[in-house]
Amino acid sequence: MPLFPSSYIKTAAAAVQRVRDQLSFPFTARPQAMTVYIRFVELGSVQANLSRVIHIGNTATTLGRLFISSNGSFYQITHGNDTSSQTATLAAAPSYGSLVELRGVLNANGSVLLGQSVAGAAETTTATSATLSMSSYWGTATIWFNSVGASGVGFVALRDVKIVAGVHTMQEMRVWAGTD
Amino acid sequence: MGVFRGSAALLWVDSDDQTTERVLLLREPLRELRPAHQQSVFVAESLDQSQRQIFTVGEGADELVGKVRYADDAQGLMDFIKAGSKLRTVTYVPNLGDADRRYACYLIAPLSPTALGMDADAGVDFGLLEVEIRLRKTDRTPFADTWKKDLLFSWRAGGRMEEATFSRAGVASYAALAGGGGYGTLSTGAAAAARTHWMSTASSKGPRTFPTLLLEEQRTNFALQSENLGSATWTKIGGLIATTGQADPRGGTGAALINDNTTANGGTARETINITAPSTIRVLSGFIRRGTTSTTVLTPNSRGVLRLLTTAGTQRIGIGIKWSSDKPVLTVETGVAIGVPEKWRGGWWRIQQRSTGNLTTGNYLLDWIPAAGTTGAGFSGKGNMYVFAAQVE
Repeated sequence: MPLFPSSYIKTAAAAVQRVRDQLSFPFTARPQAMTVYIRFVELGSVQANLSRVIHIGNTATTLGRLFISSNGSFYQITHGNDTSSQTATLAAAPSYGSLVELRGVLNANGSVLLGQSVAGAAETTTATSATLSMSSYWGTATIWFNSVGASGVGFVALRDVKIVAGVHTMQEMRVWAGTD
Repeated sequence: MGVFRGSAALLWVDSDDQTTERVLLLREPLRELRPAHQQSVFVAESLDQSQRQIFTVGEGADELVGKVRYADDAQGLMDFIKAGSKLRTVTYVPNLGDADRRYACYLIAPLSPTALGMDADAGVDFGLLEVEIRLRKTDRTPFADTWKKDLLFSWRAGGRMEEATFSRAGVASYAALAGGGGYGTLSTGAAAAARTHWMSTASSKGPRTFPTLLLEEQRTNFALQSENLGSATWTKIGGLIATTGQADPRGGTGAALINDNTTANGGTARETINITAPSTIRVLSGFIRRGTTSTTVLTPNSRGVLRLLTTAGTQRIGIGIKWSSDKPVLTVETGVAIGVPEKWRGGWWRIQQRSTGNLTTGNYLLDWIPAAGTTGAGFSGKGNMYVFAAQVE
């Protein structure tokens, strides 16, 4: 459902479709306690149900995965293993055009937490989810941005991504990212 | 000191030895890492330095320079250098807890003859050694994520993407930094080219100051002849005069000046478009620039309008446009406002608004109106406006 404008599409005698972008990188680090920091300009992903901001693994719901997505209203973080998953969901959404920083934490006990700072304001966080056994491997050793494969495609203008072993605060992640 | 044997390693296979693999365990990953590059470069420069030419051979090879510190396996470290001197493939594993992150390399320096140095901190007291090594991956590509073992992934917009897998089957537009005084030149990225898209901070009014990577879902623009208002697809109603060939936000001349120079006619540039399934909320957008002052202000409070109507004449999205100096001030005539106008080169602004509810599929009327009078959808105004690139998605 188009709720926001996308980039301009030139037309002539007929309507024209711009197809989706799809981006991934290799990601060889195994599942472990880690902090994911991603900074982007909100262009509508938060309104698109299950659109992925970042996703480690693949689309399989029976393999190790960690992703930040939207539930259609707010961003959320999900950690899944072979049999189950845990999700933590924020209670506030960024507005269109806002500069957003998300800090996703995967704790050593498999629980997750998501923090959000909009336009440099104080970080708000979810409660920490219940624990979950950590997978021994990701579904694939791949990190996706703005989708997972051809699914969960959103709209973002991506600025920085840092993934650091261990649990770190938003301020520490900003130092890692050189954005503080 | 907090160092632990075995957090990183250098591995190699040497047929001169009796073991399947030699391992030099490092107490900590290579330190003082910095990227390096080697390429055959030939420079020709005039005597007054006013002319300079550079000739290069190939793309060269990326390298990594770092120090082995706190080494207590003196012979192992020397055997490593000896293996490198024989052009054995040596593998650097910066974190044995993440053994898949490994780099097959050649040792570029030092080669035999050489001598190990005393470690700067622990050499005199403990006899530990250090040596600076220069590695080149066997495939000559850059090293990634070797700088600190805690950093599992790092990427920044505008950064290297040769290791990424990116796809987009068609062209797509983005804002380039060059040529527009920092306000953005509308540009087109080729198929399969990731878009480095320049943006400004929150207000979107200032110059674009930082790069982003623009990633989007598929969308369709149902507006036709978006850069050709001279096309017969666009009907000029009420005596509207469309002068094409105007400067546009691409830096080209694809825009048009639409002019309604009488209050009687209600000049409009109109086309019929067909919105296909699904029935959903739709977004209307377009680029505008203030018209020539001699006619823009002829009728007090006259305003421009970009709107989408049903064929029965019911307005589903309507954006009222007035000007404060050269900045548009928008009013929602029908629909829901989205963000603030985004500034582009040459005094252009992109405006946008969405429908309140779902639009059913079928034909709609898309209107550019330069002077729509003071209220409602009346056509009593008089004036002109530059327009470009309407989009209904």
